[in-house]
Amino acid sequence: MSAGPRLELRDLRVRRGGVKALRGVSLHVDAGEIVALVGANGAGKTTLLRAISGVSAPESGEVRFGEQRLHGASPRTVVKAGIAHVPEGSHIWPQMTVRENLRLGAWSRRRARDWEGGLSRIYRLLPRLEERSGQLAGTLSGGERQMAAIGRALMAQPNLLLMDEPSLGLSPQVVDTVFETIHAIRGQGVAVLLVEQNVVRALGAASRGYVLEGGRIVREGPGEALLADPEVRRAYLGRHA
Amino acid sequence: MADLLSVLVSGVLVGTVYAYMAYGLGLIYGVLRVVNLAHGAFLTLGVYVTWWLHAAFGLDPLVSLLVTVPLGFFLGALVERSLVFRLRDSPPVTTLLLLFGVWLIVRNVLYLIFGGADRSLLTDYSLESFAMGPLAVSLPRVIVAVFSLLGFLVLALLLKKAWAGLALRAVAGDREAASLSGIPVNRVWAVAFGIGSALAMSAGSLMSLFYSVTPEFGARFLLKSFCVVVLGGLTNMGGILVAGVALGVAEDLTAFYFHTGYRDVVSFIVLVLALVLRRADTG
Repeated sequence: MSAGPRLELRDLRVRRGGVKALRGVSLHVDAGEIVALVGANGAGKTTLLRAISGVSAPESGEVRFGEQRLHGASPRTVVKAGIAHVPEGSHIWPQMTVRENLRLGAWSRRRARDWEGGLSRIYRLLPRLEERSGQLAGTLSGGERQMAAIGRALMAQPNLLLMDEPSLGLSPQVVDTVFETIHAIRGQGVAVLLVEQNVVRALGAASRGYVLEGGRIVREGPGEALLADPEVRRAYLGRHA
Repeated sequence: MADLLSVLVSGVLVGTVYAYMAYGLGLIYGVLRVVNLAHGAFLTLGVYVTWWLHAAFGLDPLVSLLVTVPLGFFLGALVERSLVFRLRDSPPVTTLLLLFGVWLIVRNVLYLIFGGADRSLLTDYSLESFAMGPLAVSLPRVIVAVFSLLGFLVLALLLKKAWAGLALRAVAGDREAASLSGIPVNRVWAVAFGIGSALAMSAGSLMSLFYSVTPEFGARFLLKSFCVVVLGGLTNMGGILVAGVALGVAEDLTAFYFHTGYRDVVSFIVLVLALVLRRADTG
């Protein structure tokens, strides 16, 4: 499998409601890599993902994906460029069937008329969704909703998946499934930028990680190194350590 | 007994066009969260365009659907792009007033051009009826009911099967998720407004077969549209169909047992009851 493009942010600044939410963030995600972004609530993790996917416009700085400059691009352009976003809290359409939810994920590829081919690939990766395909998404369990949201994002056939708190509110067994899925996605050559409140799981799964604090990157390095870092342990793992 | 049955049948037939006329209001609310008071303008424009095409060119009202559907779509999308879209971040009451203004302008322009006189449109089959067992059924009412049901069917298929229909439902259900999936939300708004207005204008075409044409046409039927949409559940097509039929039957029964003068009071009462009950529903 050919390597996809590399995501690169340079000195990204974003305001939210007049407040500086990101104060110059630089990071990169290489093709096929899992990168974890951790930090306290309000550190700017979700803002960062939303700025990449074009939901909120950055004030300054650069977003590049391979050759493409995505700074200030619309979400539509970003999806077409190969970046899909699994938002926090899944945001599936409860009044639609699982199959309709997945089909809408292929919106950017609707002219290619191969969305059903994409659908069978998603069903192979997430067999549970095939069992539930005709069911209204609102009747799914929390874990299944998260899987449906991941499947929907993958329907766009991205090179990079942005995931916002995929394990939030799920039971430990379901969290295991979610992380197995993340590894399986990477196995298909898709890079993942993972925002997680579950710092141990996220840094354990990631090849590299960044720690975001007050809108700035304060630490970066290989996942295990960050997990072993006394500062990180004190700040985020107090109860786990 | 046969009289009562005739009244019921006639109420059901009129009810289908009530549902058809109201659906656009629900669709626009569902997708844009905007109460489209210009719906009344499009209903009125629909009857006037149809009446005029008949008076000037002898065009059958059913043929004029070929004009009112695309024209309604175009005008609706234009109103959304040029007016509603600019107010997307303002409080809802702003768009409400703006669209009310659109309606007033259309109504008064029609007064200016055509005057306030009631006009009616008479075709060869306007007064035809046929016997169904002991019942005499009005032919135009049957035709209008068939067209309304066909319109509903096409719309239901569009919403269920077509990419555009799914996009409409996606934006109605969760704007953020739609945007993240790459759906151009802005364009979907314009399309929704276009479809809703096309429905209203074409409903005007159908209704010109048995209602008189006046600049106040929209006022009378906007209220009934509200009634149907609130009773039926805003975007729920099945619910709106049932609500439309229920209103049609209730009106005809009222006219039959009391007085035709009370017909239009029914929708007021139903609207108030529906709002009160829905409020109790949602706590």
